[in-house]
Amino acid sequence: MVIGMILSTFAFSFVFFGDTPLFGFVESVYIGGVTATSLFAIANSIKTSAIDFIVAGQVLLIVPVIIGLLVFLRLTRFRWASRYTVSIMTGVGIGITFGLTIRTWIMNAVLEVMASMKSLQPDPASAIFTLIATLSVLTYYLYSVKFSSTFNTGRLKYVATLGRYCLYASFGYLFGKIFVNEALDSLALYLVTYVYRTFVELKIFLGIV
Amino acid sequence: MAIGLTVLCLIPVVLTLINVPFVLPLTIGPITKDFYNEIQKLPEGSVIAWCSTQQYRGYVPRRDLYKALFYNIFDRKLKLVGCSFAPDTPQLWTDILAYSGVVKKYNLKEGEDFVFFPFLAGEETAFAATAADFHKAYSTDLRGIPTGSIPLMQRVRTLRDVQLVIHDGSSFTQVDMFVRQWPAAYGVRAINMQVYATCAPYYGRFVFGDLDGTRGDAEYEALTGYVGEDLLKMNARNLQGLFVLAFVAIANATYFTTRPEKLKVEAKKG
Repeated sequence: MVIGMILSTFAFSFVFFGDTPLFGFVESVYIGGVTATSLFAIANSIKTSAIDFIVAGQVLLIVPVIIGLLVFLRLTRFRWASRYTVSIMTGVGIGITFGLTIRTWIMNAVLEVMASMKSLQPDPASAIFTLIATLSVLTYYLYSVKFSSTFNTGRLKYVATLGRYCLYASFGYLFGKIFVNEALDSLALYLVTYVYRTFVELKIFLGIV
Repeated sequence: MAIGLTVLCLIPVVLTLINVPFVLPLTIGPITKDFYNEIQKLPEGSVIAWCSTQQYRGYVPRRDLYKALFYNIFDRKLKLVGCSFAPDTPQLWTDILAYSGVVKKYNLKEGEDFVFFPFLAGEETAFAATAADFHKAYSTDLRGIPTGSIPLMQRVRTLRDVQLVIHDGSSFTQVDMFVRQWPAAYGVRAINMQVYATCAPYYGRFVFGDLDGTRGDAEYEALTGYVGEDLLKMNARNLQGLFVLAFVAIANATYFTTRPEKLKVEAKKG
């Protein structure tokens, strides 16, 4: 833990002193450690999700394994063969996500707005504001010349403007919540996790409690 | 300037660590209560599937939270199936078992009360494959025991056989993948362990509880009674927040009081 504390202090020094040899050392140790761990984990993943099943008699699984291995041909003059892997991965990825994305991102949003208006939950003002914000933001993203000119430059331009302000509010929330919060957290986390915890463990180890 | 501001921000953290008795009140928010209640209302023997994409950097600072969550789960005599979707995750399961000491505390048996699976590559594809059939996705568990011979896995084939799913990770985009492939596809209730912003669009329909960052972690520790470092961190963060607000107020006041007035220069005519 003492070594961990020292290494994390070297890493934290980047904030004030930039890319120093101490930071470079920690960076290299981290990259080396993560690479080695990932290598073993991936090797084990191939074993438990493919090799074991092939050995047990599911020989058809050799096909996806070969398709996966084709990607390494990118490093050779037969690089064209790696396109098959990428194409299949893209196709499978789209197939897996397409229907469920519509369900979670589009259907869910519509249903949520309708349900909150019907039940006036969590409270009537929030439900009404959610509906207004959703509709106004949608008008802001109308790009069709035929349909959007009324909202962007015409009589109803205030609707799109309201949508823009709603977007600003959501960006502000996300910025405050995620970035500012995490920046402040990092100081407390560093001191509590790597310094305070080490001293507590040392006190226990040395019997000074 | 940066060093000065950092040192000023460090003061509240140091004050907390040396046990200066200045603690701001902590109230338990509704989404943390939801998270807790989702676990509490499960009948004894229910199975929880945990989809983890957690890595070392996210796990180490939240170690006490994991301990509290493990205690909460096994206090309720629930069963746990842990899935690893990041290369680091398998070792984190092992570490949290050792750190929390749940096996000894609750007299648990691996394979009957809990099971952890090794890393499965592929992110969303791996989520989908696991949910569709645990037995086809993994030949063995983390210890190398064949999935088919694990007693707990005799009653868990797909995600339809579990009563609650937990998501925990270190990348914001993975919440979307998780929601798509687990709760949305199988209709199982989910709770999340990343900041609320990541699951806000799904809250109440697919996700029914959340631990909203450091605050959520601290609230959960307070709620379960298994107090750890997160309450300490929350106190430091509360004081830090006050300092930051004070800096912003002072900086603005200074700027507006010392700002030189704009000089009016008349253009020469002719």
